[in-house]
Amino acid sequence: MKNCLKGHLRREGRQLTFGPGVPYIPAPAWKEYLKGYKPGRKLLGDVENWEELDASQSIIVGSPETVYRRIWKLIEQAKVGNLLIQFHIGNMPAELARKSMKIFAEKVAPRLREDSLKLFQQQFSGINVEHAAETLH
Amino acid sequence: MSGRVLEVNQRKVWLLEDGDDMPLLYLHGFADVHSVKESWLPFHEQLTQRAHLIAPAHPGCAQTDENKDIDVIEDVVFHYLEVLDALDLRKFDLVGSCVGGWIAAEIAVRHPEKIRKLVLIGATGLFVERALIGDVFMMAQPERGSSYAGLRNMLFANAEHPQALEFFPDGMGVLEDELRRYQMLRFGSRIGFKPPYFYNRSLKNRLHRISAPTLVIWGQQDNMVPRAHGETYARSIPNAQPLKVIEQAGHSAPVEMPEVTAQLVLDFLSQ
Repeated sequence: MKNCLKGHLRREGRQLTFGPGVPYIPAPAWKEYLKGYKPGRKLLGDVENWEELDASQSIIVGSPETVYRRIWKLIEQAKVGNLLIQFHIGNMPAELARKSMKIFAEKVAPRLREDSLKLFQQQFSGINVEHAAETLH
Repeated sequence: MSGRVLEVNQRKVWLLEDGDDMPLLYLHGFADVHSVKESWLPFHEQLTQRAHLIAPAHPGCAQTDENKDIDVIEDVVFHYLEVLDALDLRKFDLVGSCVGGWIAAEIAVRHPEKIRKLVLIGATGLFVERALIGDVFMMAQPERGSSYAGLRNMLFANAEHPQALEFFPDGMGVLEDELRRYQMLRFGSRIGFKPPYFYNRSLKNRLHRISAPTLVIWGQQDNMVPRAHGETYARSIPNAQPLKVIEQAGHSAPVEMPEVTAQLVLDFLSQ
């Protein structure tokens, strides 16, 4: 797992992509970020086990049911219409990546598609979501 | 001390002012009023005893509105020309520290007739071969997620100086102060993040236009702007005194050695 997370942000050294020294975020947004900020917290590249990885919320891992629940929460809260997923990270064996893609496509994606269609029909009744969904398939 | 809002070109500019006598416009730097604290530091308090000190916060700092159109130093100069108009300042003393010193020099080369006396303290703004300005943005990234020792080391001679630790504490300080520091870095990034890094190649050949008597002050151990920059300023401004070096001070001499620095400035202004 540590190998897989090589190259991700870690506490050691300085991060040169995000932080006070890369001040591209407007001040009000930075204020919001600071409210939940814990100095010295572990970053994605620092995690040592699955529990920490899961708690970091930077990645979604688990059974089809868990993965469904986590993504569904995002869809519900943020009204996500499109998902881009990175199945392969670090030096993960290609077979493993293929396996999880297959499980996702068979057991998670159909449920998400069906449920989000219902959700969007309720919430955006003015838009013909069914038609939009058909053109995507 | 009183603070007020100035309306400049449909934007709010926040400034602090105090004292009477000659107007003295002070332009702040990284470890300074507006960028680490909302009120005067001891250095400024000493100045107010013998001058009418006016210290506006740079665009995006303290309560001054951000100006997203600011891209290069020229834009900042024009911002301040409008501030001068709004304040009806026609002849004044100008003191700038760090980035504020750069802005002061840029104003002075364009409008030498407006400046009675000029003081530059650890000013950025020049390109000096083999003496690059230290990367404050790199240092503003905490080490191990929480240590700002690198930043303190860049801005002060002594990274463990009580004020250095107060203004740039490890971990997270008071939210308002964190934001203040961030706003200053954000302002700095508008004119110094992408190369040219906090300098304007054209400035050096314009310095001869400055006619005001000028004092250039440098901390003995400035880890951000090498002393060669101070020597270049002092050499290139016709009416400048020899460079004054303050011992036991780094880049933020007004913070580390407030009394000595303020006295130097006041003596020079009253000469």
